[in-house]
Amino acid sequence: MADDINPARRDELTAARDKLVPIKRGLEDSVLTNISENLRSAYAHWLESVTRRMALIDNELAWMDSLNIHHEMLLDDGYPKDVQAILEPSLWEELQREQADHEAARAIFREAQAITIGAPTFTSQPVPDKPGP
Amino acid sequence: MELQNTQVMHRPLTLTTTDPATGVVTTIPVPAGDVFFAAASSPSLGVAIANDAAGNQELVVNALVIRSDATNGGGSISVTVTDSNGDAAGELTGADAIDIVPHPVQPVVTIGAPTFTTQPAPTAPGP
Repeated sequence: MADDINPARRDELTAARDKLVPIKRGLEDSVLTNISENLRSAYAHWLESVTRRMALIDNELAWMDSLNIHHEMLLDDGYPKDVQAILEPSLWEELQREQADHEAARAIFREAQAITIGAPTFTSQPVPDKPGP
Repeated sequence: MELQNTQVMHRPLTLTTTDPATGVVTTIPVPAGDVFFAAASSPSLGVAIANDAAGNQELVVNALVIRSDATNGGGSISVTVTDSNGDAAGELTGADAIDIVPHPVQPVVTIGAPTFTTQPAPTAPGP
């Protein structure tokens, strides 16, 4: 089993859950005691809140477990090493031929270019003889 | 644009590409062997390709007549630059088209005819 990919988060969630366990148990017991209906109702309301919080924590922990499994599968696949594709010599030779053809075809293309006439500078000449236009 | 008939206009020539996604224009070096050609829409304007001081090809434009503009039915002379690689032509058209105008006459200082008043004779002997 690979290491947990986020142990700090798991510790935080586990601690939060551990803190809720006795609270939930106390609320469950309290609901059953001889108390007024209003207090029983308040206990029931907060018992529901605590139960929901624990369920959400359990849900995230379960997803973390699942994430760890997927992470381990990724490591088993060789990650983070690059994928190494190996070909039989005959296939390698075919690939090289294809690549040469592709490069030959690509070599006839070039990016479209435009001629740009830059800003003028001036020198001088004698006045022309012809009148124009 | 106006070109005075005593001016020779030099304009650098470059090749550019335009990124279709961003519109950013990039200047690229002119490849060896790529030769520029220039043509004007009127024989009144001289156009040529020459090398500048750095050895780069440039467009050279000069007046071959005293005047060619709207006052004598000429002007608006366009210039087209092409190259041997068949790149998109560069053009001087519209506001960049050429009107040939006379070189403005410079004012000359002229000393006119004399008139006289008087002063006391100077005391210093000279020379």
